[in-house]
Amino acid sequence: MNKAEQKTGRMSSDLEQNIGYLETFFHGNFDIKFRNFKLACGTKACAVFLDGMTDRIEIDEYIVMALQREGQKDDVNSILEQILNSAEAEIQSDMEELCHGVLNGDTVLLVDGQDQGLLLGTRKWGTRGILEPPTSAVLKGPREGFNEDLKTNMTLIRRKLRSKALVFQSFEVGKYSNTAVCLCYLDDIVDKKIVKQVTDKLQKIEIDGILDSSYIAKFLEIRTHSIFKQVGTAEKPDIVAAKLLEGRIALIVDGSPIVLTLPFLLLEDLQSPEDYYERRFRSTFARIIRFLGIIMSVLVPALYVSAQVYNLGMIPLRFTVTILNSIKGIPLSPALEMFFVVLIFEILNEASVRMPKYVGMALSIVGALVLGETAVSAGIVSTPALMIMAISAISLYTVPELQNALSILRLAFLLLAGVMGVYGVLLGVIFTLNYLLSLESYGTPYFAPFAPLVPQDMKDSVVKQELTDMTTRPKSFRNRNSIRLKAEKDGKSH
Amino acid sequence: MSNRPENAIKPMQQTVYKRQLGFLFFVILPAAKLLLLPSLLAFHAERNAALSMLVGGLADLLVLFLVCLAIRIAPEANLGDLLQTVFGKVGARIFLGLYCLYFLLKAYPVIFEQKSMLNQTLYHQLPFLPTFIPYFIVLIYTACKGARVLGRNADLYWFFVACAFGLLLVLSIESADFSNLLPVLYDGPGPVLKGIWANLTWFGDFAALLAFLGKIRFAPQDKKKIWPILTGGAAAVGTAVLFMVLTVAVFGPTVVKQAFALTRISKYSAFLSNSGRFDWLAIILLMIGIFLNSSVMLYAAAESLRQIYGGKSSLLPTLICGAALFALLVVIGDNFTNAYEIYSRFLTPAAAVLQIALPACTPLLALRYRRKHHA
Repeated sequence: MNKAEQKTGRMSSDLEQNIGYLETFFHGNFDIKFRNFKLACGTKACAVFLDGMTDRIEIDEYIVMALQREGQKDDVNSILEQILNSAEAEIQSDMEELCHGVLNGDTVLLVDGQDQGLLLGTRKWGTRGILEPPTSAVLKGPREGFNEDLKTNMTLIRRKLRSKALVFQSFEVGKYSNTAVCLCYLDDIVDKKIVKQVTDKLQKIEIDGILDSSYIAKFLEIRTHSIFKQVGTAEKPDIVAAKLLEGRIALIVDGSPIVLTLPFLLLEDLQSPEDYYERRFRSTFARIIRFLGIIMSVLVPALYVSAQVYNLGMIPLRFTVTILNSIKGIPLSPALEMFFVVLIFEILNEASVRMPKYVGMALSIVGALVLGETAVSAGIVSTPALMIMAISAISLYTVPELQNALSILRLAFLLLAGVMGVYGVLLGVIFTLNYLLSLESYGTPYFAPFAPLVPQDMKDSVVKQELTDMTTRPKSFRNRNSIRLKAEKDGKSH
Repeated sequence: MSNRPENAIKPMQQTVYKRQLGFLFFVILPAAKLLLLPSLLAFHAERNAALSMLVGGLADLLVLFLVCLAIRIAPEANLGDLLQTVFGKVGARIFLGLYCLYFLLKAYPVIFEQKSMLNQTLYHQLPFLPTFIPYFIVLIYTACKGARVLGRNADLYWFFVACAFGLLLVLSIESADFSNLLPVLYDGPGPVLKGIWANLTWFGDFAALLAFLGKIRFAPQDKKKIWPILTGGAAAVGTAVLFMVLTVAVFGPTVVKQAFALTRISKYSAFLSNSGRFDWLAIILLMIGIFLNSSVMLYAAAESLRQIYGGKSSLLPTLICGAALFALLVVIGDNFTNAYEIYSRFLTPAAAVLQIALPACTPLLALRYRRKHHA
């Protein structure tokens, strides 16, 4: 009977047999520990846990020691109710579930003569502290950021939204990684159709392992081969809480400090958390700068090349004279020259991200001084080309979230400008915009609220209104309960 | 059972808002009317060319109003449905075929104008075909995206187009001499009307609305409101007339020689002599409007073709129509003078039927459709 039971995954009442099953299941892994001991009443017992993912003090003091001293009864119900004081504990008779618990950092307690085991919450492992994320640094506003621990991240969100409407739904994804993924939303606000769509997609993922939230993002995107991301990312709990309050959903992935949000609009990359903590005039100004930054980073090198090659008349006369003096004697064509400069910049950029910090200074000297200065004095590239590249590169970092897509677009537009001039750039712009206008993220137009025009949502677009004026939730995407603020009419001043 | 992969995008519901149609007409119509048309109208009407633009525009607006009435009566019916109620299946298909051809022929002058403008102003010696292959790729891409994306384009560009016109207005008004518009109707209304008749195919852009029938999104509470489309149409006609007035005021009796008035109207501004021709930014923005004009015409042709055989995808008809349009451009090439001759002699009567008479009858067709389907 016992072997048949264990084949179906049910526990046996023989302790040795249960331990044997677990040893076979874990292929004798040395980090799986079997702590044999006797209860106070003399019954044999065994605590099984994964070394490194469990709280040893809790196992030693509150499980093993407690049972050795006070374990007068040997049935699991009494042990659970009268002896153990673990906050997280459940009775389980399915061996698969028990094994699964061990892999997640829980401790399994097996008692001889019992065909049920206890699954005790003893998870504990080293995590990074709650630090300010380097890519979302702010001068004003909260500085805490997510880390790689799912529970910590959940807590950070819960601390911002202490409401019963905040729902955390748990999933496990990855055949070998069994990564915990947590779907998070505000039940009163979110559109349930989007929740269902995302849940369905999560459940259908069949992959060996999920090592970061970006893995999940690939499965949630509608157009996986696009250069534009279609899932929002956030590294700070205040950003995620704000998005949840708008009716979006968030996905927290164990092992990743980046939380995903859906539906995603392109506009979100123009917004910074600081915009909401500053006066609206400053925020509007910053957003206009970011918007110009996007245009300049992509188009300035292309327009410079096309003006030089085909349409010099577009440049004011005095500038033309200066540029013509600077480019005199440059052996490369304007397009090739700019392409060369862009390529060098991309190489420097890639190197500076990956290299050890202590050689950063050396690279700056080599990149900025040696390469830039000597290339100009050697007459390989012109000063205006370097300046244009510098403007484009700096502009690119006004919207770091779009950096990858924009740097590819910059090269594409440069190519078009070299071949067809302004006309090619214009065709490129039309093509790109048409592509973006046709993109959708879970029924939400990617380019909303600009196209389709959603006047109510323009309050939080390039021109930002004061928080007290944004009385309704965004209408660009589906949500329920549209009112988010009941503004007092009297005494309202701006 | 569909073979569509899980992550594939679901086909978008091809609907367009009334507001978007209003913006669309504002974006595509005025700029396309300010390239060759001013000189073509001035050839007949001389100083009264602006009157030709005004009368032609008002006639277009009347047609727009009647098509909007048809939309109010039978919002769910497309052009094929309306035609079928009177002419039967075969008759409707013949008319749809004619419309397909008409929209293709209507797209040709717009594309030719763009090509000539680019050649004359930006590139002096650019080979025709290699330049226009990328243009056609983007044109087909835009048209096959359908009504929804065209509507979103309008939402996106209308503000910039308005700013571009505003800038050109400010820059050109200082060189305008409005006495150039006088005397009004010195030779009677004949030359004004002759100008319209000879260039009838340059008018009638509102006929493109026929391709959007049945795709217009109505909220339950505003079914009867058609003013967003009419307002956009009126703004488009108003802007075209305003700039025609400015063109005549700036260039006087030499309008007839100003082939691309839009690119020249602001060049005499004192601002530009100091700062370089930044008015090109406005002109480039208006070129997007002109590009969209040809995209809408290609979309309308493809939609007519699609309705003939009742297919679901817009890709194939757009590819067919795009290839036909490209072939038309290759065959006619730079021989615009002959093409214009053919257009003004033979195409004008057909245009009168397809862009004026038949659209004007659409309220009657819609009434009949409603009686038949809501009986």
